[in-house]
Amino acid sequence: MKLILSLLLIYISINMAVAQGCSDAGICYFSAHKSDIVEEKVIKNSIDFGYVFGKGPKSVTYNNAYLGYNHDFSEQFNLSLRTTYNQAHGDFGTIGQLGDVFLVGNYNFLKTEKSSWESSFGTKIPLTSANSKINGFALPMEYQPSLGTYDALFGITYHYAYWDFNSSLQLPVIQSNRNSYFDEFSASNDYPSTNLFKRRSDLLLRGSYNFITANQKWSFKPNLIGIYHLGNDSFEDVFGQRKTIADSKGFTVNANLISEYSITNQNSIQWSLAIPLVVRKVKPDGLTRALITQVSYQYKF
Amino acid sequence: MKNLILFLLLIVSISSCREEGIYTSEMNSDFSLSSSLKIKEGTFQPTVGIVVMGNVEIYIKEGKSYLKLSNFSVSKGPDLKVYLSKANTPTEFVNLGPLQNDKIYELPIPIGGYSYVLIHCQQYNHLFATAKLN
Repeated sequence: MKLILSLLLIYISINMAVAQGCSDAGICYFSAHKSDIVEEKVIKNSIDFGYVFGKGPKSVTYNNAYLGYNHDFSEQFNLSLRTTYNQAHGDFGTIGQLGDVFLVGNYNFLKTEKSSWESSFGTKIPLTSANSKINGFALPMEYQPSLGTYDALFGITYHYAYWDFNSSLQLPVIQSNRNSYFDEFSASNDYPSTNLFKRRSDLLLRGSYNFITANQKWSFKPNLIGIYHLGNDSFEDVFGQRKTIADSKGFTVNANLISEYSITNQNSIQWSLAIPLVVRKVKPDGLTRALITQVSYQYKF
Repeated sequence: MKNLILFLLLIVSISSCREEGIYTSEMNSDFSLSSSLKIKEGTFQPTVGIVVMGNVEIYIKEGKSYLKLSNFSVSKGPDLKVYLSKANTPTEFVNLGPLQNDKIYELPIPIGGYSYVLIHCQQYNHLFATAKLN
């Protein structure tokens, strides 16, 4: 790995996805991106795809996949595009659909030998309005492939040696969630009503340390991720009145370990495992997982 | 690599799936309105561009009120709900749940003051049909 000129760790896709993704523990969905030079050839593109298995707190299991593309426009600026496919399986049945598209830009600045700053900005575009049904029965948010919100994403990361510290904000800009799940009309009592659900913003704080083996083939990156949901979410009740969902704001803390093996300078595989340490009391958005693990592959060209 | 991506896209597209579970299987209720008293009824009228036919009937049985659709059909919509409403537009209403032709809806409130039944597409906020209760 002597050929690596710089480490432009693109945390936006990681960090933002946690706040919005299928899971509060979903930070492990995304892999770090590096801008490399291999045998004098500047690598500006990469494609990555992965499989994610998750276990929800209410016996729902998730089989998700993603496909991403990254392009370095310069040493400072990078754009990444990613789409997700999410499948949920549980007592309501099995449903799988494309979830969201993410477009994220990263700008690296104030770079010194040991440290650098990175700002990130982007958007999340939902591919569904979170109102998928089975046999005409409305499904709770736990089964929806997307939150159904158009979000703005902002982040700032400080890299120092092997340490990374990040703060990100996920702001729902257009609330296009049209979910129609009512606890009253459901045979299940496990999920709160989320009819015409409106979601509040998330603030994320993350710290990680990257251990790299002597031969530079392996890296292990433990992370601690705190996500604060900034307000109580709300839904529209059977009388058409908007009601806040008590205790839906609050703090989630996830522990995550990302392991990466570089097969060659252009190919790598990654595995990660994440578990929540602290969860919000009420999680109407269906994001929380009891466990999440991911395997992914990245090809740079 | 190109073939691999095409293969992945193919896998994703064919694995878009929907299978029913225990909470989403078709349920046949054995509840019947026999020995109940019909207190109100109305005939559905369509809004522009919609085709609707049939009636709505309100019954009382053992102190509870029920709503039943009769000989009912309506143009397809993605998210049709049955509303009990105070007006012929969805301003003050009770959402009784998703439209199911053969379902008997138990009313969660006394019928007094609610003189319309609406068929409304919640997802696109589009009114499909109205019936005035007489």
